[in-house]
Amino acid sequence: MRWCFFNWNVQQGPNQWITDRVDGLITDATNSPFTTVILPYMYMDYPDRKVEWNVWTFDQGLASRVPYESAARTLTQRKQSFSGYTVRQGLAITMEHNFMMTSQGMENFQNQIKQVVGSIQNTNDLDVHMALITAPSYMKQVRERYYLEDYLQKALRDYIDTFGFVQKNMNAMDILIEDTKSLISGWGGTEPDFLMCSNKLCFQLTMTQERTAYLTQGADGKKLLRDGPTMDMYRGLKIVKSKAFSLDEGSAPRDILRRRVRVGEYYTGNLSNLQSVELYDEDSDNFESLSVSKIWHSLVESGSSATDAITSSSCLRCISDNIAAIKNCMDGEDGHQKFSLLLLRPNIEHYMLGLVIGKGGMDHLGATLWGQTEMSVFDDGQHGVWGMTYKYHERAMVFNEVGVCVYVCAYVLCICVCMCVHMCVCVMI
Amino acid sequence: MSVMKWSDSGVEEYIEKCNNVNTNFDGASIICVPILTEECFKSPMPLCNYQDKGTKLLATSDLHIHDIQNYASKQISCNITREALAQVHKTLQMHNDYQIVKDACEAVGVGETTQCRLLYKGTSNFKFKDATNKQTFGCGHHGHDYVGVAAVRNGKSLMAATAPHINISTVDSGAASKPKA
Repeated sequence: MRWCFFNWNVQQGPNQWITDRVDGLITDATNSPFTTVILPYMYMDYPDRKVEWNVWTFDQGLASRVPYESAARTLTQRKQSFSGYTVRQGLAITMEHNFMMTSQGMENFQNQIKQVVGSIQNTNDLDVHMALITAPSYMKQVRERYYLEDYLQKALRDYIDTFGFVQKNMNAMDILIEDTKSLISGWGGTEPDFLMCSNKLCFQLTMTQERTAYLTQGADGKKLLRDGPTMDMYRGLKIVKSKAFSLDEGSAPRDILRRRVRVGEYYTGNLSNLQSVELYDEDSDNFESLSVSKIWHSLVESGSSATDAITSSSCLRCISDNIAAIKNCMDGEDGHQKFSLLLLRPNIEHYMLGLVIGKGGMDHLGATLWGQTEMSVFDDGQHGVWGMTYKYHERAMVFNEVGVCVYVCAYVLCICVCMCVHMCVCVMI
Repeated sequence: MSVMKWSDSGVEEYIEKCNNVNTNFDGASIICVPILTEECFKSPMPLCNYQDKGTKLLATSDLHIHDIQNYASKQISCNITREALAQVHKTLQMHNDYQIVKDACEAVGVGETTQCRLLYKGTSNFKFKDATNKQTFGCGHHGHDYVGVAAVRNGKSLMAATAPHINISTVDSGAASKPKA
């Protein structure tokens, strides 16, 4: 290594020796669970070509009674063909000329090599995240083929039942995991072996009362407090924590398994003789009162009377047409029309956390394809810098979506977003 | 908790805030809609424009597209209510310019907020001037955390942790032989 850098004038261009070292650092030294457990690296000699794969599905059915000399029901099979390409990517580093003349320069160079390795691995980790969440949904396929009737009703019921599930049920994670296992098993998939989720979701597993009761466990409790309640495996699944990536300039790194969502609620009751409505408010974490005068002033311009209501162009026609009657109803005057008050709250914002459960590996799920790596050395005499460019083909692909189940989402940490209420969401799609 | 004003500026501001899915929502949270009806409201209530065929885009690109229209009609049978909701949807431009609704996986990739226009019945307490009240419990969609660690994590309660009880019992060996009074 030292020789080649002292002789950079003759080593310009592609350098296979350095390339092999960097490749080795990426594939062997990083030990990223995303490219080892979930979608492991698979080297391709010719990554330029199109990657194609076929998925055959043989549905098992029940035999039915058949009269003599009649045709038996034919079992159905499906074949789906997919294809994709790897993507050429690259990074470069530059150093001042003569950097190898000092020990600091050599150390700096070593760190820059590690920086390249870490950056490329980080990019590949992100690709694995994206491959998992954008993989075709086998659940959707099953739904479209077999659960055509009444699916909507069931989906809506599931949505309610699993909403805020992790926060509302102590055993929610266990239920989700076992539910997913049986779901994947029902699809003919193999037993899952990893669970990828956000760090915050791991709190649910590690910070239960049993695991944080340090006082009651004697010497073990002291050790637990010192080491922390770690969780590498849970219910037979390897826990893989998702990473946050700097995806948007100027904003904090974002976890792909954490997303914003707006959901809605409505409240309804009689308007006549109404004094106030109490609703839950996230800001105060309490039920706050909404007075009838505040409701009235949201319907008309401040200072205007019932007869001087806002025009129909600027508000709901049904309100403007009946504004005087609404006022009478609020005041409870004799013979007033019966109005209902509908309070809509369509933008209750939460952060939702997702989790991915599946069986990782090339044989079951997919792979991170890579190849045609090249570390090329260049020298810019005009600016007095020397540098290296590392380019490679890479693409994480999910070949078999039967082996994975994406739950979107499981849990939301409490956030105070202005006036929005409540905190947690759990919905299965 | 803020209430949207049904004025030009109030509506305009709400539309702007609501259509911005790249940042946290910081618009008004409550929309008041008086409706001349006494029929009950079913939960969930799809918030859509019932007269507009573009309402199909309420759902993402799976089966919901085909089912949601029928479902919406079934959930809200009252014409007056449907008309009012359609007006709310139209006035507040909740159709997002009829853009294709992104599902969770698509939206998270680009950092956008997903929106659900199915409104579920929430917990409320209507108090009337004659000192009566009508309390409605939500359908379970939202609610408090279970009492325990999750609530503690969110800073909502204190964990009930005490030192372990030490039970000291003494046996009076002579008590058994003493005659009861």
